[in-house]
Amino acid sequence: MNKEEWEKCYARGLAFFGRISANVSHEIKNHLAVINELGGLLQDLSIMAQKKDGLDPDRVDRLAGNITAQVSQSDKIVRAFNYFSHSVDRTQTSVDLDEFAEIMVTITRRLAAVKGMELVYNQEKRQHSPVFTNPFLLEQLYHFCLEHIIAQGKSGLIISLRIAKEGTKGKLSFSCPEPVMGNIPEDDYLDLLNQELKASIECGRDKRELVLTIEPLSF
Amino acid sequence: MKILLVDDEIELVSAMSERLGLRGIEADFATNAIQALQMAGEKKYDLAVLDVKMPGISGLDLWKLLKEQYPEMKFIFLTGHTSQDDFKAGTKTGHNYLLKPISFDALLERINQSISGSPEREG
Repeated sequence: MNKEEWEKCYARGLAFFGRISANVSHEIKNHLAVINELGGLLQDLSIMAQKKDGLDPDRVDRLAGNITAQVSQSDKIVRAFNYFSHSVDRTQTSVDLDEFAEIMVTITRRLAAVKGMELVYNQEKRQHSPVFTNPFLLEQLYHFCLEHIIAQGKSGLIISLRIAKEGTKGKLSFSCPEPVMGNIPEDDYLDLLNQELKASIECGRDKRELVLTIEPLSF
Repeated sequence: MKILLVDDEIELVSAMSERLGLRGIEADFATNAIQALQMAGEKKYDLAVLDVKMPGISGLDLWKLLKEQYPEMKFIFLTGHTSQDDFKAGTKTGHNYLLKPISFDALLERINQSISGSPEREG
């Protein structure tokens, strides 16, 4: 990578990191807002109970359960975000595509949700699928694919992600029931990422599938 | 006073609705803009509390539609933005808003200000 390419990589990579960080912080704040209101409601009910009627144990149990569920979802997002944040630590490492896909879907699900779409990791058989690559650049390629599909799709669309290994190559396949994919518009930075990761993105199955293929990097 | 709460997080708006109800304020809720428009057509609301970011029609777009149809309606926005400056930059507006997670006392104060026509405060 020459100096100009490196500068582009730095700027676009930073912008990508910022976009994901903002998205995750919004999602965590939404969970905190729900927890805050449920806690407030519990407090209100407790005050009411002291004044007149007793507390309904089932009601309290349901509210407490909802709070626990919100904390659990927040924790999942924070753990995924921590994985994402550490992806810049090493430029070449073994990435388990199964874990990668689950993490990326967790932290980018909201990007689809705000457009009324659903993003799911739809792997029938979960298995360790390591590929030696640059995780941060791979995350950016994933994001290129996802943003392209979201831009083409309409509210109600379900986007499924699957992974596969073919020999030493790794594949991330985005699919949806409607023919909305098309080819990703030309972009110098996308070309650079593809070149660095020995990757390619192809549209298939009558525009219902977008497949990101990466080859392992050499030491 | 009748309030319409609109946020795609049903747990949030249902809890807010109940908490306002316990304080004698009638508050219905909707989880999307289409539902909110339908409800506003069936009942006269004095105030709408709108989440800025919702799937489909956003809170800001819903505000434009409601404002056009119901000019007397007052509005408060809820936002996941992390600061006032961030919200202003993101929406390019000077709306009356509260940052999530909200302080319920601040919401009550803001509701009273909006309905009584007091000057609006930010944040």
